[in-house]
Amino acid sequence: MILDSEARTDGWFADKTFDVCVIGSGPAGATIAHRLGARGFQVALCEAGGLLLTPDSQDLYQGTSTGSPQYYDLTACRLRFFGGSSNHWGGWTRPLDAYDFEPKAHNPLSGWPIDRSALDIYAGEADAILHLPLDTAPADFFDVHPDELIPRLFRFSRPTTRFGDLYKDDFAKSANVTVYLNANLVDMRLGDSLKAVNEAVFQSYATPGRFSIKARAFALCLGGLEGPRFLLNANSQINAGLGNENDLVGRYFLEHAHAPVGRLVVRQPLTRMICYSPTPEFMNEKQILNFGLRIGSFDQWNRPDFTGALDPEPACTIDFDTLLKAEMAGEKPACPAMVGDAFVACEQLLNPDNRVTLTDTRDRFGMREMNLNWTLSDMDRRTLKTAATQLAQRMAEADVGRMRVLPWLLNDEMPNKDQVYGGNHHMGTTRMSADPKTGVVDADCKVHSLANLYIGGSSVFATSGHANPTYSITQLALRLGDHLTTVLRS
Amino acid sequence: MQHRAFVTGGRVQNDNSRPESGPVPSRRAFMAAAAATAVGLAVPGGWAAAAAGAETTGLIVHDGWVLRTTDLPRLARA
Repeated sequence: MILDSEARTDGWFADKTFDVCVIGSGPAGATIAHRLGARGFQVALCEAGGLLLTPDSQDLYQGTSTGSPQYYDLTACRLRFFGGSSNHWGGWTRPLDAYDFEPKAHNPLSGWPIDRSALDIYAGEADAILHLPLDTAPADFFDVHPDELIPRLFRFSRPTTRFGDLYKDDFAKSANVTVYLNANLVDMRLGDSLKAVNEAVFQSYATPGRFSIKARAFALCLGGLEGPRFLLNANSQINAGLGNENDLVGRYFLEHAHAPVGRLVVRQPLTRMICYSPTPEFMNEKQILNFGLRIGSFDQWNRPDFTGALDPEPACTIDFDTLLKAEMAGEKPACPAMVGDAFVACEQLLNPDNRVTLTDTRDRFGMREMNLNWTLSDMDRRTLKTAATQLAQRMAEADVGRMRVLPWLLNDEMPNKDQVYGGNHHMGTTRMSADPKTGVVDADCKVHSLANLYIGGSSVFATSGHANPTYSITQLALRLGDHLTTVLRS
Repeated sequence: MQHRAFVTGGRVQNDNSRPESGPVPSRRAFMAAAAATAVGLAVPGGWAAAAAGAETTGLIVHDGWVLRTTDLPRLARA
């Protein structure tokens, strides 16, 4: 059943207690709601926007940002309607690497309280939800694999999964899932002991007043920026906000630092995008973080239908030296398949000062807006530089091609927003940790200090690796759905 | 990565669509460097100390290009 909160009447659902109230209908929230509804649980799925984008909803993402390089407009880097940010997702997927879950001495607080096997069991379901092709061996470039770089595979969600479109019909027909559109979360009320959430409080745009939804458990799936913003705002009973006893909510914001790092000329045509990541030993030796180093063509991999293949073209009859010389002189490539781009998306160092905080400006519902502080650490920049220079060096040594590394990297300059930017991946702000002093949620994605409040989405990532997050978000949502099943049946 | 442009209220978001930018050497500068190398002079540019891995035997860095030491003389003849 899909309902519009604008059409509510007094006492709407006041006597009903749902099994679970899921807040947010993006990849995490929609997946959890669908899974639990299919298992017979009574689920309220609350979405702040409607079925389509409206300015009324999207404008509630207003906020400010500080730090360098400058971050995106906060109203444009996520979407606030049914299906959430999956509505403009590019479809790039890969799982986190196994070693992303392990602690690294040079990244304090790193390491997850689970290992990758806890998510691997959901790979098949995630593949189906995301319309992914079979996992195949990644393309390689070098004849001999250097010890430092491992070939990696990206798979592409085609047609790209829009979670609202995927589940809308099921939800409309469901006797178990009730979708509330235009339901803006404005508060959560705790029981007398302040140890559990009793009800979530909502407001719609045009209809005056508020309404509440009661449930046995709550899953907050608002995204890596809006989730912490809500928890910090929800201070009507606890001054510091919900789950913030150790001043961690909103801290350790992670992005994937994206950077074009160079141009290259190769001896054999590039027929697929190639990706490399560092070995754990190489990361430790160089004191760097994980990265995905992509080789291909900007023009092609930015297409919405990109599946990894680069367009074939007639055989190039121009010799390598002539092509290289022309590229070095800045001339337009005569054989585009032999000339390409190198691009890196890298993990960031855990930094408590990269964070979501509240400003004094309030939105139409009285909620304080957010400021996002985002900076690059020296280790982040060293990771980008090492990825680029290592590839360039290995290409020349193996004589498979030559690469030019961009000057700002070689000169250790501070990059601007056109040189390094985010991927609209908002992670880490309610990070997972076994210890409440170092994380907001536990290994089951439950807020440490509250018995029945869970968080879905990439804000629970303890570290980010280099993989685009939607695949892991989906796996974690399936896992949280299973955990809630166990909890609710016990 | 997000690729699908999102447009509302005049705002557009479409990341990763920015072309690689940055100066490339002019043909004259390149030819001068190549000619200098061909007659045994040091490669100008000043990148060598900055590039990680440039110390590897047999590689040089010229205007950001990581090359084999034999490349520039050969390219000068190409």
